[in-house]
Amino acid sequence: MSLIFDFLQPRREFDLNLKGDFDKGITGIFGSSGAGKTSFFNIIAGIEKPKSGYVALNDRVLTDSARKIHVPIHKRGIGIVFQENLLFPHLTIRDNLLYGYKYSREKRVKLDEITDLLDLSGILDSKPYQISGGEAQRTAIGRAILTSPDLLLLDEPFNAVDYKLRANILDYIKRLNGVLDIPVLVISHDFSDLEKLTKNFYFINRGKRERFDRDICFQCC
Amino acid sequence: MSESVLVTVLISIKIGILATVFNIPIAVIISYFMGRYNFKGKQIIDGIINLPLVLPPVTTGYILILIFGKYGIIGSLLFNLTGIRIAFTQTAAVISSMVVSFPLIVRSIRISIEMIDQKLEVASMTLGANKIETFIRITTPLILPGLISGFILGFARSMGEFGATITFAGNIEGETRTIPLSVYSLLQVPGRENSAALLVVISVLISFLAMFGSSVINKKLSSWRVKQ
Repeated sequence: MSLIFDFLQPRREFDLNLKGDFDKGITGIFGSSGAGKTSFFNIIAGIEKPKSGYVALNDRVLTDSARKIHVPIHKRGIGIVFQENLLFPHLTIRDNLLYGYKYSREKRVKLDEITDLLDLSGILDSKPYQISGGEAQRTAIGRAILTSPDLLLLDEPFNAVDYKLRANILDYIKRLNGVLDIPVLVISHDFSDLEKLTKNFYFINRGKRERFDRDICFQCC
Repeated sequence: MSESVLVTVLISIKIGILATVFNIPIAVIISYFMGRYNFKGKQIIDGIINLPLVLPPVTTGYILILIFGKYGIIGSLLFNLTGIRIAFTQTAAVISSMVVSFPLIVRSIRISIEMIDQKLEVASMTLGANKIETFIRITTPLILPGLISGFILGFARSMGEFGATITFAGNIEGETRTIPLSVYSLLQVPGRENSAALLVVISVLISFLAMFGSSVINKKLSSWRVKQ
């Protein structure tokens, strides 16, 4: 299970030019706001098409500009949790969680496991507007995992929740990582949050990967 | 109720429902493209769609004759190939209603399409749904209030349609004579005011029920749109 990428995407202020490979386990994607973290996720997930370069997941080419390959979003098998959890307002929590379940070929996780793991059993019949920010965040995470993705992307999963709940979400992500055997990339602009999750970091500054240095990071971010 | 009044009411409802049912899918597709994509000439298309709102309906009816009449661009072709005549039939009444009510339906659907957070559709695709499945499972339920109010508005406009219908479909009893045409005809005949009054009451009732129904449904639907 690994993700390999090398791409170039021009942006208004600077070029996003990233290269790397990630194995299973959690990697913290870290950088100041506007550094290109979300665009990085969009390119991996197929939401944005890079100008040039490639993305491959488990030896399956997802994007390759030279060969004009661009696998559409829904065929990538990548779970993504957005900053604004984006639950479907007209569906119950249960239907939100099961939304992508029928599309996954390998059903490696079951609804019961996820609701237990993420403490969602009590709210399955509620609508998104009836639940708290932390519950919504966990539902969004559970919904992505229930598609049995080969890669999980979490974009600022601590943003929507207040400080007290952060430790809670961190704990859930750690628990999930013990169950899933896939690469998990977590975006955050808060280094202390990431530090609690993992020892692997990928530091993005103005569209480029930079050598990770704790002291520099604390100054710039 | 006299038989002719009943026939008139039924014809009106039939034409109104047919016109709206045929209009909705076209309006959804047009609204989707107009709401989502920018292309050259978008404003011109927007103008053409909305034209029947500002054109006098009689003019719209005349334009329809020029297109679908026996000697019209499409009408002559159809008549020569199949022998089918459109003008001055019930089909013509349905077409008149469709054209006149179309901009109202597009407006209410387009507003609700533009209100949808497009990221919800992206989220749906990252969960494995393709574009069509996303449209069915996410977009359609989210624009449902717009669809319903579009349906009601379109239906109500069709029920009230007069000018285009009388020009393009004529005023044929039992065929194209809808409530407004019938009220007009009855008022031309001395002593038939009672039948006209009855039709007016029925038409007020139908319109009121339609508006009331749509506001009830909208209220129910809006419960989950809170905090969307």
